[in-house]
Amino acid sequence: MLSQTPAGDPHTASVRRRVRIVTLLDAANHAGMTPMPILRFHAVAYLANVLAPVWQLDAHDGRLLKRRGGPFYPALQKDLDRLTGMGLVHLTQLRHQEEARGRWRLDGSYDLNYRFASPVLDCLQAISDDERMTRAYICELLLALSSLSDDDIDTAMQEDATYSDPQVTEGNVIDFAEWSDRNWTATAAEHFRDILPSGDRTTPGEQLHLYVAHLHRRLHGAR
Amino acid sequence: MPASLGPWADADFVTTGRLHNGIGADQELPASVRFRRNVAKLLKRRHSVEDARRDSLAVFILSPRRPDLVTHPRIPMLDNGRTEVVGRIWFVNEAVRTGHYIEDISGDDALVFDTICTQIGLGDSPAVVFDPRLATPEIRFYPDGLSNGDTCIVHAISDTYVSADTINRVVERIYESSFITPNAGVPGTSSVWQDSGQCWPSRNAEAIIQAHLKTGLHAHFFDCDVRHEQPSKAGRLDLEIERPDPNDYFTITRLAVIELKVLRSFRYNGRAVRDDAIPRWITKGVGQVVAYRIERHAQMGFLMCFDMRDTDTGEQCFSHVSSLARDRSVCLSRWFLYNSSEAYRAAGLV
Repeated sequence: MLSQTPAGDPHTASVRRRVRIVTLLDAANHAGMTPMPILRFHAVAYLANVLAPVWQLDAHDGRLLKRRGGPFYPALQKDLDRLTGMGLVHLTQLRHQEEARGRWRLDGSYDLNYRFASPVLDCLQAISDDERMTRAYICELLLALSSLSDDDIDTAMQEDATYSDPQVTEGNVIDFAEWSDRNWTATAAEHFRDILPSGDRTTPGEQLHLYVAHLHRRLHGAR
Repeated sequence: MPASLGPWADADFVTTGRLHNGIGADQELPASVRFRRNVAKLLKRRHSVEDARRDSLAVFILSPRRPDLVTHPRIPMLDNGRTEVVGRIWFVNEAVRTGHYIEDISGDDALVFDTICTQIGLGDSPAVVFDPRLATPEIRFYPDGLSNGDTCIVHAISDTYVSADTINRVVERIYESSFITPNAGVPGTSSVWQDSGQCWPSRNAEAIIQAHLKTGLHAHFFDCDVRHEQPSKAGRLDLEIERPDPNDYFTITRLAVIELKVLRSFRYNGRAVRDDAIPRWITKGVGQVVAYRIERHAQMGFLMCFDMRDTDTGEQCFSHVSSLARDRSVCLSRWFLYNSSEAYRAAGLV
């Protein structure tokens, strides 16, 4: 088992997902990217999973279903809805969004309600070095992603090294840290160490920023 | 290109590296230090663009959330210098890779300050004000916000001047503000002392000093990267100052390598250090600097000693290596850490 995904206790798994949601939204706020629409949130959650090895961390969730519309984690969404109901997360700009083939879905944008979320964040900081490290990682990732336009983030999966892998077709599972450790995204980010003058001294932060910069270049036609 | 890169096997990583190398190298620094450095880098890049505006202020506030007054969408890739920044108030994160702005602040400079402090309520957030109208355009950094204008650091937009003197002056300032006595540091931060009364340094004294120096050098030499604990053939290098070429980040000028030593009479647990240990450490330190400097092709090499011994014996600790250091161009410096304010006053320095 490569990822931290707990196999058993569903309550613990749900708590861990809620912690991840609060951390992601706090980092998004810190980077100036909130409120964040649903699918963009799931895309960012996926990138936080797939790039975790760059920061010497395990993926929170090491596999997902490949969808045409981009990453979507049903269990994460359920916990996001739950946190919205609890008042920790604000849902704004609620609207209907047309998808392909005349299908519609409910969309909205998420942000943290710091009145209730601040004590949670304070508590997470006090729990362990691992939580502090995870928070530092996700904050740096969101800072890197903030260099992309909203449209670029929404279409990033067309070029992300793992999600765009043609060997995994839509409707199949992308597994990068559950039973398989084939993670093209983290490998590409870490590859910058091999070519930069700073070599092994290249920081994980630089690798994240460079991966996102290269993603941007590919989205705009470079190879 | 290795096949193990999957769909990115054909990727042109080198061009990306040339354009963006160094972004994120400051990941461990405090947000306000990163903000100041990254705004300065952006302004330097933007100011070199021929048709950039030079007729008004540009103001940057470290506050990434979009204020209600802002109507424009978020600007991505702000750090590439292609977006006009002058005549606007910017709300950015510490990486300064994106921002929101309020337009048309030309005219009354006082009104700009008033808008930020009163109307928007961000007078306490770290801010940078850039005035390109001056003969030598300058950057004013307000770490405590525009409401606290007395605390302001002014510097020019040109390349920072890195010499042995400037490096030593920056370290001297860090020493005075953080280490000269146990009370000098910011309350609540890690102390270099395990038990200052007994002159027992902390187990992590060298790491704490290194972290402070890294932050201070990064803040002062905003266009340089300061890297630490670099594994190398010659051992592990404490700090290295390097300047990437802004037009090609693959071209690095390595300006200085710095080896840090903590001189101590006791270990963290009170065990006494042998008398002959100090000269040995210093000799070893000079050898390390020489080796690092050659290996890294660095212009300057420093052995910086933070003296936490129970008695200040001055520079005589260097007497046995002074000619070797001179011959091999190693700058030697020493800062004595008083174990109490009383000891500092008794030394007649106030």
